[in-house]
Amino acid sequence: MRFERTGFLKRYGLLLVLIVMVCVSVLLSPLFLTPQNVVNLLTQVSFVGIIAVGMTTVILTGGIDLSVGSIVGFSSILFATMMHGNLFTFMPDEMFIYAGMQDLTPLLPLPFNLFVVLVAGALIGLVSGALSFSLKIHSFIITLGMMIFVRGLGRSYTDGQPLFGVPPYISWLAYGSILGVPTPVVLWIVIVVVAAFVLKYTRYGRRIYAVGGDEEAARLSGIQPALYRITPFVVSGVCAALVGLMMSGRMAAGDPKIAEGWELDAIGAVVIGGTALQGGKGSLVGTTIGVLIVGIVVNVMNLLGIADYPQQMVKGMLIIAAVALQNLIARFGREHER
Amino acid sequence: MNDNPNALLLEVQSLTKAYPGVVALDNVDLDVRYGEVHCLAGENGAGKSTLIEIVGGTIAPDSGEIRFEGTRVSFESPRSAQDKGIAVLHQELPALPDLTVAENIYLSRLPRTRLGVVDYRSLHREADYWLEFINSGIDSRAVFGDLPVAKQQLVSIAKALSLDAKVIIFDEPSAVLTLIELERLFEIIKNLRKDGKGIVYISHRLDEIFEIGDRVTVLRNGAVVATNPTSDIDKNDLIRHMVGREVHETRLRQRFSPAQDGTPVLEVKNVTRRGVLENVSFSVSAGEIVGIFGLVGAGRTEVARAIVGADAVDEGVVTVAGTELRKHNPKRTLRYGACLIPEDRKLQGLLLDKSVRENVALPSLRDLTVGRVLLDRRAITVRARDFTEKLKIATPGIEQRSKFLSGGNQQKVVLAKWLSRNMELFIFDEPTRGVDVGAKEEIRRLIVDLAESGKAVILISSEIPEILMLSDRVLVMHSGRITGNVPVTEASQEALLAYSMGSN
Repeated sequence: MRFERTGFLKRYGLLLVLIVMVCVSVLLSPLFLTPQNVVNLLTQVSFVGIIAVGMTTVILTGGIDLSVGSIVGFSSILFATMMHGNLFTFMPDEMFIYAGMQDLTPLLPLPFNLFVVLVAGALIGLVSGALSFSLKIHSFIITLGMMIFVRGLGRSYTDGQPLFGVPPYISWLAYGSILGVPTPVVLWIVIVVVAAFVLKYTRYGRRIYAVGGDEEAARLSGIQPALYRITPFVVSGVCAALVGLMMSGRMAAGDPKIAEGWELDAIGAVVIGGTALQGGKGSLVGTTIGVLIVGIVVNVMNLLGIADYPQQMVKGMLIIAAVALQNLIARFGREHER
Repeated sequence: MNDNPNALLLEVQSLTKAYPGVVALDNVDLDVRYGEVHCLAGENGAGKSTLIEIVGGTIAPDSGEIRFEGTRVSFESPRSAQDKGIAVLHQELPALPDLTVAENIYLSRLPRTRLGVVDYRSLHREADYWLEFINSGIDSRAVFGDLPVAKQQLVSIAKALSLDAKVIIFDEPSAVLTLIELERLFEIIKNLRKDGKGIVYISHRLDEIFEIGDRVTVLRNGAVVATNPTSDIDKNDLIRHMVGREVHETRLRQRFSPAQDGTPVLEVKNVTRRGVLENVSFSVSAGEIVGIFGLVGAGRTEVARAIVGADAVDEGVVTVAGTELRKHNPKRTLRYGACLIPEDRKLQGLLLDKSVRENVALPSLRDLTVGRVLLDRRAITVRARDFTEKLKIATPGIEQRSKFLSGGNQQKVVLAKWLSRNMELFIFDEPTRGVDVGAKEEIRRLIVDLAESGKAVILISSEIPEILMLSDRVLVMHSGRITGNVPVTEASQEALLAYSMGSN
């Protein structure tokens, strides 16, 4: 039944596009399929990939989270300042911005510092979700405000400067590996698998789809929407905070300016992956393929030596083309049913 | 308790609910016995919806009480009513089109394995059981949104049964079902009655009430007018109860004789839209009302849309007032004097958030200007006021936002929109659907008046009596083709039905 409606193209179209793109990439550059490049590619996309997981859960409920890029920057600087013995206090002037590792006086034992950062991300998400739900203001507005606020908050810590000096083991989050697979990639895969499982096989997950599909219908079916409207923002905040920690590791510093515009990259990947902005429809498999498609295009352009700005043009066109194509396929399918 | 044929399953006592400015329910009493179909009738705004929403736990009453199997209950959510065993099948089905049928049935209580994971296997087993129980022929794995509306209704019946509901409330199911589907629904309802369930059945169609109901309660202005066994009363009593005055379902129209010389206002020739319409040809003269009857999905609305150019056709020509229209769109068609008054007024006919004044003026803004540029506010107001009076639109004022009007009055605003322009051809798609008896009558009169003033009218309706009452000629459609074209004098209910099912 499902197969009849959606049709082969609609169901596997995205996967087909991915496969075609891999093939084309191989033809375009012999370097593409080298193990080194594949590892690079996956590592590069895993950061936005993790953010896109949170973004997918939010978009499934019909919301959107613009604050994630800011949360990444904020988390990274929050972590760095905590490593220097500060928490929620802005850096005093006399503090040596370029403090070395020897000056580290962590506020808390390391696991707790990490934990505090993740909790901070969760709290920001909770505030966004709760405000949006209780004030009945679309999350686009709430998280737009939150995006600007959190970016300002992060920059206030060090007056916008990066703060060097993070413990070496944090760089494991960015450069380490587990069984030969880079840590970011492992984290990404684990998060995707866990989240996909939750969405498909738990009541919580199915209710996210239900509330996103039609909140009133879900309510009449006996579901209280509040939980399902608010918690996805918490998931999104935690995902972003984790990426903030990974970025601290990657740069061996906290930097409040990073990840600007990543929320849009994540949203782009989600919509390329076929998740509907109005909610209720879509999947993490789609999002993951969306992340990979964007990643491959960027990667190949890098291999071909195409400059940054033209790359942006291609990325922009890619988003429009991908979604337009899906709409066409869907319309085609509908007309054929008649 | 169950053995006593008069035992009360559900008892509603002096339920009252007031909204600012309106008393929606005024001391309403209602009871439902085991194994009974209890019909609710009343005009729109009589309080039927409020009543079932309270019984279904969606809204809370101001006062009064509900007893279920003898004990007093109060519901704070639809869920708590469901848990007790009261299921409401809403008119506009609250459903999640992208989820499967099974998920729609079990949404709030998906079965879980010991690990706390959704147990899809038992989910589908359970869902299939209930779907089969009512002989629906629906696969629980189907995507809900893919099903035709009638099957979606069956899914919600399966859902009600799966909830072990003892009271099942049907809110105007016939509004979305074809006759055949309705027959099936009645069969199911009769079986449920046999099993001792209490059924509450709401309908605007009086025939249904007599066919399926054991008792009928009529509400008017939020109060119960009467509760009677259906065997004790007849249709005219019922209508009198509903409207408080007599309304006769008799023919409103004098015989029509087409002008000898006149070319038809509308000529449709061999219009084909692949898979939807096949070789449709007919014409409509000035002053004539042509009824189009057919089951849901027969292509009636599609013909109308093809005439005004809302959908492109593959072949065929539409001629309006002597001009051949090809590749036209609704805007161009308007210029030639043809308009379509669509079925779904909430979606297509009316800007709900805008005032009556703005809605009425919308299609004729072009004429209501000062020097062709600036809107002439005074002229707009005058026109809106004129039509509000002429059509007897019940509204506190022309600034009232349309969404606060009742269904019948909304429909009149839609009519006013188009009447205020000088059209030659009016196409009405289900003009009286979901409209109360009193307003129905007034809308029908308007349609007759239009024809009598020399306009050509196409009337699309699923109600045979309405077609017979108003039209001069009846076209019957079946799967995209015209299967019957008969003068009303030769048309009977049986003949129209036969044509609509594709037999000659």
